[in-house]
Amino acid sequence: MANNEVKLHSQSKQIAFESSIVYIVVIFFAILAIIPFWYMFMNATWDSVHVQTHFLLYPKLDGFKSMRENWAYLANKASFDFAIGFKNSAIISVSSTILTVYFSALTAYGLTVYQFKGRKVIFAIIVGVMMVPTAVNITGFYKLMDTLNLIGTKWPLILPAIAAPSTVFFIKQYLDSSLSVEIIEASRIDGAGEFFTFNKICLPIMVPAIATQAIFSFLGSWNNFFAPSILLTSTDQKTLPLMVALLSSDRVVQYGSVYLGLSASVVPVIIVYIFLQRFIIQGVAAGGVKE
Amino acid sequence: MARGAKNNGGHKGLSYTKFGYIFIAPFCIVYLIFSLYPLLTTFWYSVANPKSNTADFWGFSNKDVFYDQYLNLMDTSLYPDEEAFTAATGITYDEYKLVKDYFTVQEAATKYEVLDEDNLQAILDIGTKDNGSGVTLSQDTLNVIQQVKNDKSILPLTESYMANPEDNAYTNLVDWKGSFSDPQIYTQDTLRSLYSDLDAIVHPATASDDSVGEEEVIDQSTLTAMSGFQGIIDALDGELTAEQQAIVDDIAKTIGEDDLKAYFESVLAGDNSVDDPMFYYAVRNLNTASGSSAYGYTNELGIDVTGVFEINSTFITKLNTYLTKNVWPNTIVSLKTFESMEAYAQGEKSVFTDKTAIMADFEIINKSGIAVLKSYTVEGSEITERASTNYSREEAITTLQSLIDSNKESDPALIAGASALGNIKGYYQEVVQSTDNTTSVVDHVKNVKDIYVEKYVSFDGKLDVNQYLNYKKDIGLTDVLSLANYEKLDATMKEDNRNQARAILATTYQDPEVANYGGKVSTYSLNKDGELYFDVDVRNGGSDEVVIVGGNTLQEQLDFITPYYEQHLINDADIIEGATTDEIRDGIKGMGGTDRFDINEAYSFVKFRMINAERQINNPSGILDKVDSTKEYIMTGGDNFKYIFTDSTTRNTVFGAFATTATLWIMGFVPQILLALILSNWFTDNRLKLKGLSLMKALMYLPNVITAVTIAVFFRRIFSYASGGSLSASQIILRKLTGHGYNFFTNPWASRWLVAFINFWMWYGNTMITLIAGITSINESLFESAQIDGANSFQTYTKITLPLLRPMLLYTFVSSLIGGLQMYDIPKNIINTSAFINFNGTQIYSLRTVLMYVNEIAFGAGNNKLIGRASAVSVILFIVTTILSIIIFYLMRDKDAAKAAKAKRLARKAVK
Repeated sequence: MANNEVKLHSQSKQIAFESSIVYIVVIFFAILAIIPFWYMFMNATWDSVHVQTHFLLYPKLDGFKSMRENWAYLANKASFDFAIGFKNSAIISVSSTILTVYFSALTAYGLTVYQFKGRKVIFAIIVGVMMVPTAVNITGFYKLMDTLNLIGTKWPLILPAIAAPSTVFFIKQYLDSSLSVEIIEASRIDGAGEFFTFNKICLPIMVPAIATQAIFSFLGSWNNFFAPSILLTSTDQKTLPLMVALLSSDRVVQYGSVYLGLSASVVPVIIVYIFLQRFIIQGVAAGGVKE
Repeated sequence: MARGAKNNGGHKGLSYTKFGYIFIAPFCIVYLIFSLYPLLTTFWYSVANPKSNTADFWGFSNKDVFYDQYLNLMDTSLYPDEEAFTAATGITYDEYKLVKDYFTVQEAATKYEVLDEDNLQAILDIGTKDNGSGVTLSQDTLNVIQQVKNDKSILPLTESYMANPEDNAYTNLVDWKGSFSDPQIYTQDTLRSLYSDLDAIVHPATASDDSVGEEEVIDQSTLTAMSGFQGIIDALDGELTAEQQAIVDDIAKTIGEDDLKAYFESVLAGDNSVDDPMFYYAVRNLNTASGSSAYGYTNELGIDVTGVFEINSTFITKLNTYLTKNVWPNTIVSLKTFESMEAYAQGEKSVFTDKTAIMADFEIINKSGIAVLKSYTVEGSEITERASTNYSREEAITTLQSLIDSNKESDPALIAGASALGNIKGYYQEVVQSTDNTTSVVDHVKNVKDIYVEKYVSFDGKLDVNQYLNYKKDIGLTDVLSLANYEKLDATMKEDNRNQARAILATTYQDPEVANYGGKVSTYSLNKDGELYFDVDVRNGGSDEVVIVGGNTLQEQLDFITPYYEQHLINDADIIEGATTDEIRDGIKGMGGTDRFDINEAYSFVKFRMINAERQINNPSGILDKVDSTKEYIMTGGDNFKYIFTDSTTRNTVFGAFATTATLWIMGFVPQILLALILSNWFTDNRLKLKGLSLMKALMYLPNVITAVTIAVFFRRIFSYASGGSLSASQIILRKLTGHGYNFFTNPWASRWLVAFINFWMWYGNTMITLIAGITSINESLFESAQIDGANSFQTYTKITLPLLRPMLLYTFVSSLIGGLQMYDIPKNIINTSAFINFNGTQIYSLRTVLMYVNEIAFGAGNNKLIGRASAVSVILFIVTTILSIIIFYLMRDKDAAKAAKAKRLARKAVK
């Protein structure tokens, strides 16, 4: 008995030791994850001369003046136009997200509810094309957009969002487990049309899955760089990532301004993340993340 | 339940199925149009070589402007001379040059932001201040600049230049700029002379004193062997006067020792190195103080104490010589100080931005007492060398400090103004290789003086098509250089080329008897494809001596030649049929052919001519393909692939990009998956009872949601080396810690590790969360029973967790691989064009991934777009991704499950 107690005691000691090591490592990585952003935000408040000569991890208390100067420099020198970038990114991301979730839900619903011929094959194909690297068709895509006269417009970045195989896949998984056919039957008996049933009755049921997918679709579109960098040519069409890319040019030598520009592009995402992090992490856990 | 519903629905259910098609239709249509069709066209382009950089492809609405800009009709391969040019176009070179001038000026205007308000203000801020050498800006000049600034037009300046090319606002600006000595450059010059002084001391041209052998190097053993050294120690041990003691203490203090004698003893015992500069310093100063040196010795208090300390030992002189000649350079080199001095002198390091480092370097040099630094006085912007060669360390340091400081803070208006002037000077002197190689913008502007080309040029950074069209109208070339006219010229040129090709083919198709003029025809050849060539000494002859025998088709050629060949050529037909070129040559020689004939040369010459002519007939070259064709585009079929695999440079570049991508991925992925495995195991370990996990998870996942571009730019910024006088975070820290900076972007592996780290940092949180989900979904009872069976945690992990985690690991692997092979955002925005790495003997960018390469050759700058090759590389990427995914699936498949499934299938078959 006494022997057991000793054993238990030593075991709990061992666990306490292990836990503290784990805490140290975990906290280290947690800090590592946020320190760059911290550095970015803090330095955005300082004037460039300070940033370029000191390693600063605290804000300038009366930093508004230097921030205003930094901001003015960005607009004048770096052709970094936050408002335009934000507007373009918002238009593209919001519309492509709406298209993605609506049409993916529609497709997933069609594949789940209706027993038509070839649905299994089509679903298998959709799963298969999730594996296709999306960027390999860029030359063909460019040529097609050129033929359709869409280069330099937002359409090439919005329209293809209708067909998002991975989103279809995950909404379908959700529907398989949570859509009951009785509801549809009941709706039909009440004389509702199929589209009405989908839009008014089933779509609300899908909200949890749609919300998760919407977040990832939005982030994917918001952070997208490769396609916009090729398809958008003029300054007034540039999305935020394209604006940000300008900040790495060696012509922009004011570091304070650079950090301010970077911070401006990070803050919206962080705010969204603070509110939605629970859903995002659940979504990742469910494997619902792209790339 | 679903099954029940189906039965229940009956015929009614059937009528609903059509909605299934309707519902999935938008997805399918959009997928087909926007993903599948482009994918297929990419495959097609990879073998079909679209002429991709034509005006059409790039969607120019004003194709004539595109041609005006990129096509040069004065190219002598189009029209051999001005006469031909004028005959075709109806204008002279001079008139045509007006168009080219426009683009030269436009390009310069784009490059130098001469109308930038800040720049102009900087010039105005100089005012009438002296630039240090007596030159000032005149009031007139300032007025002109003011006008330029007000009007937002460069015209006033150009007009001033045109009015009097010898003396005007522009020449005034250039003079000012020319005689302005940039403090940075000035200081650099000063340092350069200092460096050469040091160099002369470190590497003396000749060894003067020679009581010691030249090759000898002093080391611990030679020192011990020298009895004289013990003598010095003994002398120090003896009675010293107060003055002598002061000197000894002074020396000891300077080298950071308490007791000079004890220090010397420790050197003798080998506890301190002979190579230490401090040792040299001590010996040297002891030597000078003993009066045997040419240099006087001034102590810390500035009192001349030469000769006071009389250890009149010849040994110490000898030792001094030793050290000077041998040890000293080694010491310096080992300290790297000397090299870093060179870097400042060569301008590789900036004396401004590397201020801390340079001071530290001087400190080392000074401390070791190895160099006699010149000292300088600073008054305003004047720096003068002081006459005295004696110095004290503090004084030298202070002087340098002030030299650097005062220049950094020296009139910022002048420095800013000088830099702004650089832009204006650059703009006017920009040399663009368009019409010829030597013309500056000023000359171009002169050419079109009458209407001032600059009036039409856009200074906003890019070509303004409407302004250009106005210009074109005003110079009266709208009609001449219209699209219709370009096309007409193109058609004419094509027709000419086609006719010429026909003529060539016609002359090569000749009766061999006729061609045999002069009896010089000596050889025939027939290759394996049955093409027969009849040749007249190719090396000496021109093209019209080469005769190809045959018709337009192979059959015609054979029919034509057979009788002739049977009659004249060879008795032994075996030589020809299936013969190699060498065998044919032997056969020909046997018939009395000449040795000088090289069948390969003849073969390729004739073949080239034929192929070229045929190509010209089928697809003649006109003037417009000058802007959209290079020989790359002539390739067809699988030539893109063949080229990628056979042309060694291209092959290395393409596969180097693949290797780079894979390397970057692996370098990031390995630590990413390892850390994720460890963390996920901890996070799911119930024994540890960790709190605050969701917050930690949220923090670790954060980098993954942030725009990759932002992160890349951020890392580029904090790791960049000094640029334009500014220091990045990493350099500030490095300099604090090590005294000097480190350029991460010139070392290929440093920059690769940086990218790998970013990828790791952005993705381990994601992988961790996926794995946690995987572990959590494993049935708890499995772990419990394992624990009851006495398995330890390691066994539980390897026997239960890992096998059951396989699907998740597979998912992670494949998705990371697909993402990794498409790596673009981060390396692209790290923008590293300075680090190269050797791949199979070809220098490739250390950070250029496959997609970056594709993007560069298909959509990059310049008008040579390799759409075909880019598509081929994309196809290779597609294939590689597919193959690797399949391999991973295969390697990580659940073997037992696969076996079971197979057994089931077999069983089912057997039953049937």
